[in-house]
Amino acid sequence: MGPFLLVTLYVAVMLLPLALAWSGARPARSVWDELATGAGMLAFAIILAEFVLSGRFRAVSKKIGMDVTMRFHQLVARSALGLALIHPFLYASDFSRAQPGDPTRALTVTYDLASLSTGILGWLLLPAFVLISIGRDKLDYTYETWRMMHGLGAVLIAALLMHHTLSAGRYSADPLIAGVWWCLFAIAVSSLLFVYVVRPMWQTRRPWTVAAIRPVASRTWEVEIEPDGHEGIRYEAGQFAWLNIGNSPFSLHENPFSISSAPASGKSLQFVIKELGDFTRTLGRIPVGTRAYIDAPHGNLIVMGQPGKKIALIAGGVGIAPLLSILRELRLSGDGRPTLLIYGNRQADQIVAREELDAMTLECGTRVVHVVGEPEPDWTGATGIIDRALLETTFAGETMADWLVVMCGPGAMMEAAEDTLIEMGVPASQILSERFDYD
Amino acid sequence: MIDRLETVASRHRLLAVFWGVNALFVLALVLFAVR
Repeated sequence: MGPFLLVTLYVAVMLLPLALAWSGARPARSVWDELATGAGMLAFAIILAEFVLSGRFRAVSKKIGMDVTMRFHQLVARSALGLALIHPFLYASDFSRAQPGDPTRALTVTYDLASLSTGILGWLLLPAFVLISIGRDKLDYTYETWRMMHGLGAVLIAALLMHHTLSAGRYSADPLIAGVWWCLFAIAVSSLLFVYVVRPMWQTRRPWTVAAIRPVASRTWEVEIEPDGHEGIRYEAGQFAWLNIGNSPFSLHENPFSISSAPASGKSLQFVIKELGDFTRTLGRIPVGTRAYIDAPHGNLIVMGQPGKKIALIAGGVGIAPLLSILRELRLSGDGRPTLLIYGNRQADQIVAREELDAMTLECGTRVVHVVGEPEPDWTGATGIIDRALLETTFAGETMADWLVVMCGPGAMMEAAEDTLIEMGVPASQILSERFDYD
Repeated sequence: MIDRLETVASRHRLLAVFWGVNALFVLALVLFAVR
């Protein structure tokens, strides 16, 4: 199923309850009452679909892209919040008992506390839930605590709204519409169960073992894992995995990391990981032989099959990981395209795989431009950041339309570089990028 | 077509899709309300 069809299907499913309400036998009420009910129905449908969007389903993310799927999940949550917040305030009819001779409640809105209380509670929890999600980087929660809270909070809100929809919803009195709500609710809960139960069960049958952990730069480690009793995974250079080391696959202790090894190099996988968070700070203490689990491959940062006579890779810090995979694959596969790597770090001791990159320069002619922000006195390479001046100098005399540019690094660096490259003449469709802080 | 969504162009398309979807939602709501 193509992306266009996926988006069409999404819109159709979101509007299905409204369409059924429209085609049902119940008479329409005032414009404001119908707008209020419609906003509530649409908000709830969007909220239920959020479970599927965040479930890392390859059928979706392979076509749309993982980070884009998650971004859409985040963006459309704001739409649902807006619709949910205005929902109770749009009603023009009185909240009162059903009037005699008005069995379809065309004239009044229910004020039954049991029906409304779950809606009110959900209505109060939803903005807090969305705001905490938006600002979670500023909160002092571990990644695992955050995931737990997000999953349980989502189920709680969905259950409250489900009760409210079925008990207070005028159109939900129609068995067909109630059935649709139950179906959507079941799909949402199933998605969550798949992520937290079914997928971990599958992972227990495909364990991995930590084969090596070695420091490769200042506060940066290379972790190598090998399949234990199975054939590993098929992946492409530039993809990433959710990696769980030393914990049950049913735990929430897994983090997304780019694979830095080349598919052509064998079954084992390597990851270049910088000490940035709770889990990564403990890497150096993990013994070889520790059990690991992965959910992979994900991501569309794939060079193979893309247009471009020449390949430019631009890395900021640990963003080198997927680009290292691509460089290694190009080297092993004998891809003859001219390759350039622009690699920015704050300090020279943060450069990963420096000798290997030097060897690529000698063997394959890969041009490597190191950029260091805080250089030591003996540093002879470029200094500063990857900015317009550096890009213009590096690409001087080049026909920019020939280049396929692949970037991975901090968001601010990539946005600036993307804008500059497009202004310099690289077609936007020939710039692939991935942020390492997008989850 | 939304093909390689990790591209810059694709992020622009993402926003276009997001606002397009929202516009459809609003249109559907209004049509539903005034029917």
